[in-house]
Amino acid sequence: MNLDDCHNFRDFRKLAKKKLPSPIFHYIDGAADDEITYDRNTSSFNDVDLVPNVLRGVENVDLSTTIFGKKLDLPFYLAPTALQRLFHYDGERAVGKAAQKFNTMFGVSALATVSVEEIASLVDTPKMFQFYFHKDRGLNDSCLERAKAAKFDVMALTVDTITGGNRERDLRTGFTSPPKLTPSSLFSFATKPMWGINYLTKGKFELPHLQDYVKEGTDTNTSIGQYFSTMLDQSMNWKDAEKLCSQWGGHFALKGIMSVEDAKRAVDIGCTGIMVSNHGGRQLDGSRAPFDQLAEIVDAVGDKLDVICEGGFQRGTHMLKALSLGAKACSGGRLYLYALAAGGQAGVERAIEKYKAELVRDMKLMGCTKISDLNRDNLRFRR
Amino acid sequence: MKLKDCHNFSDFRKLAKKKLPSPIFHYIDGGADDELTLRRNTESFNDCDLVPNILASVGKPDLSTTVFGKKIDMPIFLSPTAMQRLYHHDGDKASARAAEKFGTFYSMSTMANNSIEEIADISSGPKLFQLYVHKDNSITDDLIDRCRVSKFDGMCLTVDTLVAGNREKDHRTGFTTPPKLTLQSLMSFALHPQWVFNYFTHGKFEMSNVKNKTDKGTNISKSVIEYINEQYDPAMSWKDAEYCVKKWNGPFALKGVMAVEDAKKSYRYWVHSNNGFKSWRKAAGWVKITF
Repeated sequence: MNLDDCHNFRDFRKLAKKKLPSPIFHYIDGAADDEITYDRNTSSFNDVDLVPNVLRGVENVDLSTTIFGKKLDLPFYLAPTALQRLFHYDGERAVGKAAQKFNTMFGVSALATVSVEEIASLVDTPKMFQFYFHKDRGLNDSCLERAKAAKFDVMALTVDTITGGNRERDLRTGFTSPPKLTPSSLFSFATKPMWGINYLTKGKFELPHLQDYVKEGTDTNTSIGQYFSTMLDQSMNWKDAEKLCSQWGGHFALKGIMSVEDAKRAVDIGCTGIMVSNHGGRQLDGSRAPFDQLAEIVDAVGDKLDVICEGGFQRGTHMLKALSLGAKACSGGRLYLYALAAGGQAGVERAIEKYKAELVRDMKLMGCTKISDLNRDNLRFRR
Repeated sequence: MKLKDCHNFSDFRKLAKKKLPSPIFHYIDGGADDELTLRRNTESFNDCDLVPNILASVGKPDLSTTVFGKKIDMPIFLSPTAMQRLYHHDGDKASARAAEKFGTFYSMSTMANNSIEEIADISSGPKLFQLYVHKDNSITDDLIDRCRVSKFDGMCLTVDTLVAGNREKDHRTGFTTPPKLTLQSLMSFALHPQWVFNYFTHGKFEMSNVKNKTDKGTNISKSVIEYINEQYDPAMSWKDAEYCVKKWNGPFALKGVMAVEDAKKSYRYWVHSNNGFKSWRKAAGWVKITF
């Protein structure tokens, strides 16, 4: 199996599984507790059916959408995810360049393995920086300043990782950053020699936004759950978010909002967007799926800030459903991470190309030529 | 397994699977994307239960119903489907004769392998023609005129296939456009020699209804997907539909209406269908291989 055989989300996942040492694959693939929320994130789309319109003349389809004041050519973007160089040696470079090629946005995580400065030199299309509120205030200030200096367009503060989720697959496989060889993981690293060679020969593994302040993740092996639980400031509150928002002074979003009440408060503190998200099911298992919660949030704040539906997307039709409910854009991590592992930049480009082709086809079959044609009349819920 | 062993839908499916080269079976059997809608189409019936009444003197139920102004003897009819010659060497002739025998509609696809005239010749039963709006108006006009001369009873315009569906099995089996003869597909044709024999000994395969108007698609080495993309009009609108309705001036249906709004807009009759969310890609594949 190679990249040419990948036609959909599942194919990319299968190829990623072949290429990655198992602790790394399961870090992407796994979620919290029993992974019920993770499954629901995708299956929620199947409880609603599309109702197409016909005879509307659909020769040309425009998928462009505007979020955070930026016009994107696609109604979905690549969510910030951590540690991308573990998945492919080009890491964030590959993802950023692929996003640029399709003129959509991509996010760089605070736990990224390539610096904001380098990304800014490679990519001049819209970029988002994802920020974790650390106990170390010096680290926090440095992240904000560097992202601002690198002219990132959006700052997204993650608010759903106040403590590490219970990712049991990571406990079983012994996943850490940087990867650690244990008796049980030795075999899986040994059976993927190409991954090992690339990891060791394509530059040192770094966390450039953090390593000047903390050793964890680079010099000291840590699991992601452990990192969240020990390094992030659990006393973070609305006042802190408000301060960060004004310190940043540009488009600011809260990532991981689920309740209507919080969505309204996000408006109050000056946010220009929110990601309705449960962190890909990786934090609170049993949490509601973004798509299930989307309508409430759109109804409450959809006219005041950009509501982004994040997580669960595997098909163009999933995106059409979220956009029909009123999401301004869709985003996801696994959406492109398996493809990154499967084939680097070429893999991510192929994934974007596939989703785009699905969207164009699905829009035509729906009788729609632009994203604003989509609305709730297109949908019927089964229950 | 033989025909007499077939007692229901799944039996026929099983026997068809045995008889057909796999690309052809999967062209019939497949749906788009994850095939969720294909499955739901049948599952949806199971969310509703029947409540019978008793002692109602049910000696001889009358199954007759009237559609398109025609009384037919049973409340089901045969939908138009493309290229039936691939499934059996008698193709549309077989389904038209069978429908006539049971006093119900046979439907002919624009992409049928028998001509309008040929079928009118062998069947006097009720007949429906399925139309696509071609970019070249004269092709559309010609089809409508010929159906009138051949006394077809109704016309339906397909409105849900402006673009090919996402048939991922095609990509996997290598039946893409342009199609490739892969080791896998070669095997599956070789394993069905009876099909191949019948295919080559029962007359030329052609797109009988459009062969005189365009060499595209009749010269079958052109793939069907290319035919659709070149010939059918993706800008088709209500105005085009209205043109066809007026030109036909008889019972006329839109095939593939799902929204209430569209149903209200429809002119006289409509057929409720989502076309099994099927694409034409698969057809494109094997056609080039076998010719």
